[in-house]
Amino acid sequence: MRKQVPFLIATIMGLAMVVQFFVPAHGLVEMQAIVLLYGRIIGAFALILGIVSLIRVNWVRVKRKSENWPYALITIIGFIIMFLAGGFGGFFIEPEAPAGEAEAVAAADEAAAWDFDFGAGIDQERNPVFGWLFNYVFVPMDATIFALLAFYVASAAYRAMRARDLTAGLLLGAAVIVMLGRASLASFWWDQLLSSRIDIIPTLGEITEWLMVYPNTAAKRGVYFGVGLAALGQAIRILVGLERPYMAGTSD
Amino acid sequence: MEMTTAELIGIWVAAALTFCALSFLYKDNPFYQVAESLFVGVSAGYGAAFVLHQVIYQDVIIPLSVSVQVVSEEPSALLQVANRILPCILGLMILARFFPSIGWISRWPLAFIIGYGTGFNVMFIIQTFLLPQIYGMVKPLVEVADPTVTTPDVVMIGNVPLMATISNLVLFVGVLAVIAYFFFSKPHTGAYGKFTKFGVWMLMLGFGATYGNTVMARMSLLIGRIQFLLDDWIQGAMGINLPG
Repeated sequence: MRKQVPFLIATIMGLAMVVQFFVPAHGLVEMQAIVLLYGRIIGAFALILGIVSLIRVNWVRVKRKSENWPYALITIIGFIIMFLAGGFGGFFIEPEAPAGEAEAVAAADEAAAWDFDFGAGIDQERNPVFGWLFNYVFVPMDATIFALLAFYVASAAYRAMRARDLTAGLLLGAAVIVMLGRASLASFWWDQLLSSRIDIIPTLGEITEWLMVYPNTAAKRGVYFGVGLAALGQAIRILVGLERPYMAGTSD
Repeated sequence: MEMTTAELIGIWVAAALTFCALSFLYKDNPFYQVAESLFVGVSAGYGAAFVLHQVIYQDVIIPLSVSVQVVSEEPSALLQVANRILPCILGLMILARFFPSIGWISRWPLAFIIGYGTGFNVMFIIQTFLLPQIYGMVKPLVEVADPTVTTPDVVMIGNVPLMATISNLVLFVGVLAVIAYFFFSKPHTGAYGKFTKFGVWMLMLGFGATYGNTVMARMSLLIGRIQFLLDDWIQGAMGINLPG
């Protein structure tokens, strides 16, 4: 019950998906759609699991007043505000009324202010409060925190990339060429000083493109072969029950 | 352009959060911690709201309410009801992880997801990781140009464009060398060792190019934030006209 049933569920579902691919009969294709729906709904509950864990961990920090607890409180407040705005923000739907009819606009405005439209949800047009939070809180932080990675990788590269030997030199050289090739000013000066004067020297854009298309593809293709075969092997191990990741994290 | 009060406040808030996040470049500080904590919370809230509407509301509540209403007239609607309630029960079983004594119940829904995901991925891996790589390799190495078309910029040997052919060879031999490098059942010595060394060069060139590309993609995000600060915040919200 505790060990064999999960194994049977995983194997039957996995084999059913494989069979469905090779035998795309009407009933099997429908079955796939239903299984995907099941997966989507179960996945939603898995997200709830993650979110409850996040809130619980942060709430414990606040309750115990442990170190830096105010930041945990900020996380909880941020979650609650965004969730309420996105999940139940339908009270704030935009009024829809014929333009120019002042009374109709006012009436619709008044009605709309208290009209609950649960379906508005994360539709930014129908739920401007969520739209505001998304555009002015979520997006700026998302973009800035990801932009910070440019500095992290640059500083990591400064420490790690030393042209100690030929292989390290190739790595460094390819990185520098691609970075310069993607910067319009560097490409402009390269082309002005070298490519336009000496015929045999290609433009920086051409060198970058060559690196991306040929050596980069060769490396990726070789790696993809390995990744594909390893993933295929792992999938087969799961299907035959040699690997049981669904058993992790729970005791018998 | 006229701005509403909400937009004006929004731009100031966005600018403040941008500075808070960028302040990490100096060192870890409370402003960055606030922005980071808020981002975690807001992201989780966005995910929860998204799931509530796109999955729970769209895939469960609406179809269930419609099916329940017509189930007395149309018995086939019972299947629709079952197909909404069963995954919800499986989903609730995942939450058993919170209670160690009955935590094993969560294995069933996880086995369902992992099982169908694995079966689905077997074909996906073959179709995207393996076959396209083989297709990409099986094509002529030497390109032969159309003799009626003159291309003065391309170095030719007879009808063969030199650079295109060399590039194809680099790609073909490069892939074989990279695969050879990852084959550890044979010692990398002698001629085979030299061949695998060429594979390492290809890997280094590829990693370098990917690294450079990643850095520049992040740079474009940074440029986007700086443009926001210059255009939307300084010029738009503060009303200061910048030169250029």
